[in-house]
Amino acid sequence: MNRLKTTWQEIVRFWGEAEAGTSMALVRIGIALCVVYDLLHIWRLNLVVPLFAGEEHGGWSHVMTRTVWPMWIEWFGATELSGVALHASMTLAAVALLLGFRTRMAAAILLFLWIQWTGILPTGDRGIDQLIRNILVLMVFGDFGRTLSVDALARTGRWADPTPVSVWPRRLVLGQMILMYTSAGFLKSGLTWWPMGGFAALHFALQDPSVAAYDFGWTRAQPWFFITQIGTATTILYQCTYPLVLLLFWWRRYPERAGRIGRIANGYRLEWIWLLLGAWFHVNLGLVMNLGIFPWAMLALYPAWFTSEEWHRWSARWLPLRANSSPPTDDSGRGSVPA
Amino acid sequence: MRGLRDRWPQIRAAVLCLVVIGNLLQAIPFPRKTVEDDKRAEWRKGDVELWHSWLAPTGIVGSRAEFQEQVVDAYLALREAGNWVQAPVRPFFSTIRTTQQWGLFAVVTEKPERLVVDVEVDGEWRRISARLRTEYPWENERFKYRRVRGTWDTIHKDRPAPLYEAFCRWTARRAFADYPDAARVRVRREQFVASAPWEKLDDTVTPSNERILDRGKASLWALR
Repeated sequence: MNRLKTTWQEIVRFWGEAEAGTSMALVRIGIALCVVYDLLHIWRLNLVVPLFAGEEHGGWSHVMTRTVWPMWIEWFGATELSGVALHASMTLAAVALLLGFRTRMAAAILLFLWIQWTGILPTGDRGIDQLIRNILVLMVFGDFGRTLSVDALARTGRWADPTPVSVWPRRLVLGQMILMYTSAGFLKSGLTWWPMGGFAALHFALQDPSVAAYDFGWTRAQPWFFITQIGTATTILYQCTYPLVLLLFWWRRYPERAGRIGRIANGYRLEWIWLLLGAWFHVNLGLVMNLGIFPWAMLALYPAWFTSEEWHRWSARWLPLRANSSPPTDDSGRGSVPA
Repeated sequence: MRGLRDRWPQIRAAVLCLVVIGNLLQAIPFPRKTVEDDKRAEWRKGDVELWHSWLAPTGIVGSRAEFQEQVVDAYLALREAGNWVQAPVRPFFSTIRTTQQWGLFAVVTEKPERLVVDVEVDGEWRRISARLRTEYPWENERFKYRRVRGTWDTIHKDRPAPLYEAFCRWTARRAFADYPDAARVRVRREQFVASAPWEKLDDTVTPSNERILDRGKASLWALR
């Protein structure tokens, strides 16, 4: 019973810890930048009406033929004007999120409008859109606009506000990453991802004109095919072993319980393997495949790997402007001050 | 009120634990589709055959037909369990239209498809757009955009993507605007065979979902 109580107290402490909001602000800025870019890209391609309006008004959606309409359609119809207004509203909300202006409200509005758009054009919605909506839910409840934001400027007269905020949203962002990568690994049912399929998945993906950025017909020849095999095997290994990151975080949090392997992992900061491999993987995807904002929005989540204290230390070392002050957090990843 | 404030850390921790558990439940890949009674014997025939051939020598499975029945029963039981387990979190995920199952490139096709657009000028078809063919660059920037891809690209063999007709009419209208001499516009998907180094090259190209539109059809919106 005592052990159960102690565990529960530890859980309460874990979810109650606080740190400066820098990590979360960086996630917010990165995600919002991707969304703003994507929406402006749609406008630049002159695709606002096709993607946001009903087919009676020059769009592609046949939302009006459905029995249940999204709220936006019930209120404003599926006309060209309503489509343009939905796009403009989403863009404004995304810019507000980027600037950290009424941050939670901006996240809530963007989430609501995005759900409306998905109701209008479900086939336009890709995995990364769903992932960003999951993160927007966290931004509605978490304090992602505490620092590096207009909200901070209005509150303190400075862009940076080192006041501690609850760290649980950052931990849930990390949890989302771990869940996504792990799920992506375990759900890879195609034979070509595995040894019996010759690790040929990446080669085949590069032959698909829908998603390849260039003509990669030459990867059929060696040594290029072998390189794609290494890429495939690494991807599978990387994604299926992602849950180990949790263990590594556990060892960092409780070094006294780490044991010999845990101490080695802590000493070499083995989590960097997953971090760097992931970054390498996404940058490469961004270069060779045509997946829109997917790789960049994934990378935008990576600041959540680090505590705000670490960001402050690095910015003090590398940027000419030193961070004004940092809250007293320790280096164990436990945070230090109760929320 | 004060009691609630004192208990807030516990309440928050409990809520966040529930959030984590809910997301984990949603991540379990329970099967979603049902199996009709008249299709039980045919369901995943190839896969079941393969598994039966591996397991039969161990003696733990019966005949091929019995094994098929057992597999379908187990599949449907798992589906039922999924319906029950995920019921509490389903409303949330359906409201925000998201998931926790990330089958990113779960199956990579070995028969990819290319969207191609041709215009008919003076009775002859002339290719203007084919993805990744630099000699046919028309509308490449738009066609390669991920949300546009969703309107024509589909995994279903028997039918085009839901918005395909609207997409074809839009494409035809733009082609007529850019090629005033064109009498008709043809939009279709061309499937080809990608091969690994140990496989023979196969030049077969199979067209599908071909739509030929004149100026009148292109301007209609209710063509379905």
